[in-house]
Amino acid sequence: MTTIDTSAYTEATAKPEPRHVALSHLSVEVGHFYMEDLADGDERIRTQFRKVLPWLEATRTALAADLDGVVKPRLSTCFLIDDYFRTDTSPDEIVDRLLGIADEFGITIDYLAREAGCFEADRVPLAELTAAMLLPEPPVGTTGARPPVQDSGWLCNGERAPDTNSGNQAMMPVTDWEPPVEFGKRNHSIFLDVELWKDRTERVDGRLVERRQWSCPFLASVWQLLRLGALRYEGEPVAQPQRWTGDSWPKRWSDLPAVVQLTQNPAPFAAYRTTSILPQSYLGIEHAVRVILDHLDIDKSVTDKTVERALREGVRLPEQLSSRVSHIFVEAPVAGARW
Amino acid sequence: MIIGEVRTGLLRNSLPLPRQAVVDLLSLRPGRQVVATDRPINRTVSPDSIVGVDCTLATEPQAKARGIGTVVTHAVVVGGAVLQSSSRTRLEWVDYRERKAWTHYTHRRGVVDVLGNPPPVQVVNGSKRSSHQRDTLDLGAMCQRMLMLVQGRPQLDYKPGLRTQPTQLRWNATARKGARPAVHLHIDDESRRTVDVVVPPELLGEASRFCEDLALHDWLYTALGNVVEQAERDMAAGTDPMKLLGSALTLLVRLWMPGAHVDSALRPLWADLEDVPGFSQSWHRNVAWIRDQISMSTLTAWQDARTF
Repeated sequence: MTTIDTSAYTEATAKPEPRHVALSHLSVEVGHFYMEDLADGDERIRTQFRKVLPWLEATRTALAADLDGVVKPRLSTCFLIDDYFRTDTSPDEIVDRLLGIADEFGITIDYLAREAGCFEADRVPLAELTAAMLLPEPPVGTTGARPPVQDSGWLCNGERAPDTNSGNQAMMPVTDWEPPVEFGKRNHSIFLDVELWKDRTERVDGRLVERRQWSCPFLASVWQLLRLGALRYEGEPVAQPQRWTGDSWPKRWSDLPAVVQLTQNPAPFAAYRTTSILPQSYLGIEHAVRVILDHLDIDKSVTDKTVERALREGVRLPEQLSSRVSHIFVEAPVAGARW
Repeated sequence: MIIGEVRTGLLRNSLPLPRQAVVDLLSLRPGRQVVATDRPINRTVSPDSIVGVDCTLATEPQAKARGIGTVVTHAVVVGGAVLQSSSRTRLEWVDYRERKAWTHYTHRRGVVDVLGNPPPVQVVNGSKRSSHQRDTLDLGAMCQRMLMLVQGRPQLDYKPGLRTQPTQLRWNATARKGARPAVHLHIDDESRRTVDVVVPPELLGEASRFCEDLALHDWLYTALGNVVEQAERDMAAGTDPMKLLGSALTLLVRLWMPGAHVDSALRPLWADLEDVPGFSQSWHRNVAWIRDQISMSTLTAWQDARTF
């Protein structure tokens, strides 16, 4: 005899289930290049890949050890090109050169991604989508009576130092300085206040237009969310990797998909965990990324499903996204100011 | 234990909105889905909006209580006509004293940790206080903000088809092992209600849906009662109440379905409320009265037409 163990009636739209994305065990970022790095000749790129190679191999070995032969490791590699803050180069000058140098060291790059694709991909405004997930820390005394301040474009990991009056203003008593506080600190605070975006007014065709420029740490957070397969738009996956079918690379970065698949049959782009092998100058950005990831209200149905799926193949995943993200900082030359 | 508040009112639109328009109306967060159920009646729920809090919790009699965590608020539209906003948070007693890193709270959305170990009954009593205590957790404000946000959306024509008063229902649900679900509804005044619910722990999550359903029907009941009173006053003053009665009949009557969207395990709670105060019985009596008035008025009009 068969039994029906659900209720007698369900509706298709009653419980929207977000769609799955294929997931590797690990996504390894083998480089994050600014246009200055790329425009500055091959030697800089060569040095970076030379520094990255041993760590990439170590990452592979570490993953195999973690999985302990239970399942075949799925690892994909990617790199990110900054075409958001500077667009004055073209893919047809750069992509093959970059891949050629990676090849010299035997580094296979499965996916190429564009930083502007973290702002918007396939017309889905990913940065805006992520900004709508921000869940800032409430200062002590927040009762919910006032709307939360979310539009300042800044996010911190604690409570800012209160405004003090230095005594310059006449008739006002001098108040003592009080320090900012990191919540959840160990004895002492490491307080970080991150700029997420800057709104500026620009003149376009003689008209003044308000434009929001997203900060590098904010776009880098979107990049981590994409690599962790944690973003959905109306339940649908976003910025899915696509192959480039043109005979040659286009002239404009914006003609490329947000994530381009470069190799035949690579492991999936998104993964349970990510490792980024980066020049040490990225440490500040990645600290900021961690703070941002820790202040997002991520779609719980997506994250829960991922934890379940991982467990089915014997992989234990921490619930907290930032705990699935790791870094290896290498000493490598980089050009100019970072952000 | 969960505490919550539901505010219910008529959507500021002259006609009930069709399904897709309601989905647009409640698309309040980019990329997040709106959940719509069509049967037995359309009930559409907005994505949750989450707000962090860290403040004193109201207690009665006063005790030391600090709450840190998040409150979840969503909006619900029933039958394209009635708007509800509903804020809630689950209270969890903890023994740590210093606020933790924010991740401790973010992935337990809709949970507030209670520090200071106040007796739970004093927290429940505090949440039911008739006047809001300054600088304490303010679910009502979050609820009201959501209500105003939706009522101000451009999908509406801002011309409600009937004049009604919004209601405000504060509720608390306590989990008790092996308890038979029980409910107590208290009418504080014309617009405010307080509800106590006791459920076994596994049904705690369903309590908010039940309270939203109760708030909806309490509002419908109140609104229809006010319509009948108004019509009686109109008739006594010689004013024709037919337009008012007609609008009430079209807008409100089809929405009466106690327990339709409630988990079956909590439906018996409705049975208790049907005993006392006997919600449906008086509702149907009022509906019958309205229909009678309309029939009589039609009959009179028909007879008047025949005599000429």
